[in-house]
Amino acid sequence: MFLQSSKTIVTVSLNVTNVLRNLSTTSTSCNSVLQTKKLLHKLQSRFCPKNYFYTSSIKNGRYGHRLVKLWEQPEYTTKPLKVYRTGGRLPTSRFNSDDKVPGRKWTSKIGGGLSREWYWIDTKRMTLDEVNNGVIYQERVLKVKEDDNRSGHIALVAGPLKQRWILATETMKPGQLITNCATELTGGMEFKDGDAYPIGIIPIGTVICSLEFRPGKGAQISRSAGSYCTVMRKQENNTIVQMPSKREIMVNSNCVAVIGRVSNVDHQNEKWGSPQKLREYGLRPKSGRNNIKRDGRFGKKIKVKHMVVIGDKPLRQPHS
Amino acid sequence: MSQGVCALRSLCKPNYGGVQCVYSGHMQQRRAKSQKKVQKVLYTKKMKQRIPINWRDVNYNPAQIPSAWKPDNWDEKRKIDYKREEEMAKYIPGYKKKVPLEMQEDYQKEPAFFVGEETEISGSLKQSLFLTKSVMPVTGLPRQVMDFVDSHPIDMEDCSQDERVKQVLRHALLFDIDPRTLEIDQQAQPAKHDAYKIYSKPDRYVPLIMKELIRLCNIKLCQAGGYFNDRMSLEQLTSNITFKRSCDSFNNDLLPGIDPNWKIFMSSSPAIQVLSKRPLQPFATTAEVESSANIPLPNLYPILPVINLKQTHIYKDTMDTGLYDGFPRPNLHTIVMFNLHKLGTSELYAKMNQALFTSLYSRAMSVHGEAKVLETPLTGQCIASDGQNFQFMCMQLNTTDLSNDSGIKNMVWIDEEEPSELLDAVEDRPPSSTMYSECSHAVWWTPEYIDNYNPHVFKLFKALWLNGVAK
Repeated sequence: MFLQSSKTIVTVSLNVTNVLRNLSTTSTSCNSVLQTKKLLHKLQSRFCPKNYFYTSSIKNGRYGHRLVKLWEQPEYTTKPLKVYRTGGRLPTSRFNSDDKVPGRKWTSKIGGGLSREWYWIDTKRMTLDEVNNGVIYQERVLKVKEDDNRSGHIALVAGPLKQRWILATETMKPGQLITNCATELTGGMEFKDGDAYPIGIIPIGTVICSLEFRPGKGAQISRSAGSYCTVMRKQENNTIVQMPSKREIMVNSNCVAVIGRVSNVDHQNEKWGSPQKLREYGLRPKSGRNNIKRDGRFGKKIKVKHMVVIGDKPLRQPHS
Repeated sequence: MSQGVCALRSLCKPNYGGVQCVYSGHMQQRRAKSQKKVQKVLYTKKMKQRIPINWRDVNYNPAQIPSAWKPDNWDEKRKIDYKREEEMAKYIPGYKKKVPLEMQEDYQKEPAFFVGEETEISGSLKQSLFLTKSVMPVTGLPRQVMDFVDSHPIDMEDCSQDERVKQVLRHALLFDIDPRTLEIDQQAQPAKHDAYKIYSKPDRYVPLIMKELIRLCNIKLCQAGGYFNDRMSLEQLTSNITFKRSCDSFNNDLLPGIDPNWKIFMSSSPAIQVLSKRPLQPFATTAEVESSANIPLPNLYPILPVINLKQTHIYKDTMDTGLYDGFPRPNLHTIVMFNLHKLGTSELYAKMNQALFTSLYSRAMSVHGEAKVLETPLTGQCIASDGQNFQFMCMQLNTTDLSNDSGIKNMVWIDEEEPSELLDAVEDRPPSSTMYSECSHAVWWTPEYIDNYNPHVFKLFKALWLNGVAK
């Protein structure tokens, strides 16, 4: 709302003045002013632009750390691209110029940091057309590398006609062959680490990662270092998967998933020993109360967990 | 909000022991009315219309969308107004107007994979061997070249052969000052830590070393007889070829949309190209050429040889050797290339193979005109260096028929002890023949200022250069 306030205010003020002029000519002044004050809210709501909605993801969370100018390079490349720091500021347009410049501060405590390189990662191991056609092809891993912009490692992979970067799994090494298979073969299938299948083919109980939430959209779930999902059960056209947060979701069985865990499993055991490490990652120094020892995570209280209900019969509560 | 009110009401409700059933029925009616009101408040019809159906698929976060930073006139600037370009070309002399793709001079309907001077062959030597249908039969250089290693030694009265070469290295790397830096240094006195700036960069010292070594070899060439007049060295001679290559060994029915028949345009313009009146003798005998049918091409699976090559409609569909008809020295002797941009070993071998193949294939097609197995195979040599590491390659063109992966193949020799390991290596490795490890003022413990000099490298260089000369 705040971003587009300037436009709305202009329109409102003009209309109000028009209304006032009309009213002044016809009726008395005292009543008219009172009426206009009441009308202001209605005017604002009326002239508010349509198709303008916040979702929850905009208002919450930190975004806008860094910028990659992808419109300058529409074609896919394996070369690293430049990364620009935004300082937590959103773009605005200046008067009489078409260029976009950093404007209002959107997220605080962001700034500086070491220079990075951005590698264009292909999250679609198989596209939707390839899944529908039942394609099988193999790729060779050429290089496994750390990445600045994510916790897991990345791997350079060469297919029959294309070279691309993908997310590396735990046991991926250069020189290895990985398969992308969309058909259920008659013989015994080996679900090796790093292979990609549609989730309908993958048997129950296997560990998977970099899962698609919608078919053909690209991997969204469990892409960070060491994370993994498990296939729980299957319905007609859907499969039910346990996410790394132990929550279960139901996805279409055409969604592509990779077998195994994401690489760099020891990422959670890393320690940022000094505040200088924070500055290197682009986070500015903090201040405030340091009294956050309440045993629950991030200074939360410990809450009593509700017991599991079996067969509509509540178990004995701990307090009573 | 109203749900919370209902909860409060339920708490406040009195307990009438026996009359409970009557009262609960009354409350249920009231609760139902309130719930209907809540649904109306949360999602009105207008709100439902405004929410798009694909709201889950679209990302509304302006910070995560990089196109929010995109300038407004980006697409308008990229549009080309061809009528305006023609007007600009009328009034501005020397204006290069932009022409639509179909109106350009070298436009061809059938697209071709472009392998030029600046293309990076990502599959390196393995890929270029597969494209040119060539095979490495033996380790090391051919026997015909290796016979010349110890012949024609340069032994003067003052200094031996190795000292002559060391003089060349010292001249190029220690005592040669780049004149491009002198103009900058005149303006202001440079600091002490900027002293490295006056030493020459690779684009100056690499050609200097190579041309000096060629001069040393040409001394022997003059002494041998009339061989010096037979030769001619040309710089930046371009040669272009187009050929059709088809792959039999790739069979994957489950992967649609891949055509194993390719049209390839290849061009090269090496730094120095030495031509001669007499052709070089073939490196392999006829029996060895026929036995090349048994040797398989290098295994590229699962990669296809045209990986990362761009398809273009703009190329020349003719064969060019770069020479006019009836040129007095038509035969190729050696190609010299400079590695100025720090290419890897196998990448540089691929570039050498590309340069040799273009020059030999264009000569063969200008003579025969059809793709077939050659009765008299053509040969050529190539030298490339970084100023420190030297790479040698010999090639023999046996066939121009590239429509199969079987049959008689072309042959390539490189100066490596284990070439099969170099092909299969994941990481890049240094070449086998390095002339010296270090040559600088920092090497104070040696009076020559050269550390770990290898005399065998210049012998190989001289053997390639004097190939075909009487002993």
